[in-house]
Amino acid sequence: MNPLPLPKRFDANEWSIILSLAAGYAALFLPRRLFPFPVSLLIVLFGITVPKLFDATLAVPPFELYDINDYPKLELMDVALHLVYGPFAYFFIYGYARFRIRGPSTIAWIVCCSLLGVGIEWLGTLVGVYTHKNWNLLYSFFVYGCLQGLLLVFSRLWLRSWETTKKRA
Amino acid sequence: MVLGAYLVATLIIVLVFAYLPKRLHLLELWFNAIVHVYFYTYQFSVLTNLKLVSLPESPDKAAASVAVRFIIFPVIVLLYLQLYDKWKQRSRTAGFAAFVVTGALLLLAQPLFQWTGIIRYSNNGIYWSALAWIVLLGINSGCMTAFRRLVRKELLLP
Repeated sequence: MNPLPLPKRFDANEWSIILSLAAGYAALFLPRRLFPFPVSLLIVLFGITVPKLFDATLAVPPFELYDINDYPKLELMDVALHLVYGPFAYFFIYGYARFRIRGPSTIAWIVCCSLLGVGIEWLGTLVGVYTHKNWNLLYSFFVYGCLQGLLLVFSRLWLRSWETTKKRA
Repeated sequence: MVLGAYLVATLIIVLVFAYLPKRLHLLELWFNAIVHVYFYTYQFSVLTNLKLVSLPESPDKAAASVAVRFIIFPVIVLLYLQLYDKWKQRSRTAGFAAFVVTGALLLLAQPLFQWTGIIRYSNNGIYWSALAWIVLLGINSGCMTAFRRLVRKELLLP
């Protein structure tokens, strides 16, 4: 009974998570700052929390649709894996704001980012980060699309709320 | 039956929350809800790894469990944080009282979850879960204060 087991073997899946984590968070500091820090923090936190929420619902009994890393239960590297999603969420919103995407292009942007997410997940299945049981990449594509749409709505709400507060202050 | 009852309870608590006056800023509400869900899911997974709690096998009870864990609990925590924020301004003791009252409420709710079968606790699980809740409420209160400081700093407010 270990609260947070260590990996069975430190191999490709663990290394890919560590490299993605380092690259993702290093990249967060590179581009010009577009959003106020509290809103950026919310976007990254949303990106980290929602995958954990899905894993805590779909990867556990009675559903058990997929496994992550070496064990069917939560392990230490799962915590690191969830952190990897944060920069992805940030760059999704950053790109949307930076390239001034509006109107029907928004759908194209969501589809492109969902395809990118599916591609990364496919690589993840090759190195053993994800083991699909009753799940496939098509489901992931729709889940990514819906969540990115939600994040877009929420981030616009947060930015508007921030601007209103700033004017009042 | 169980799922229906919990969905009605979820709807009621969400409506109560929606219509109550808010003390926290919209960004604070979102931040605190996200932080709570983040730490709560890990807390639950760790307790599951230790075999202190487990989820039901039947899909309808699992769905009720999802509604309770990811909708009702965050709303209760947000209500607690608003109360804590209000009472803390009167005195620290009053703030601590809000902490104790919410902790006790969550502790008392656990036998109900056990009885309806949406969260199954082992013999000592109920006590460890209560302890984890107290820690979680502390983390949420601390994060709320830290985020408020950050927002004030960004807005150049005193």
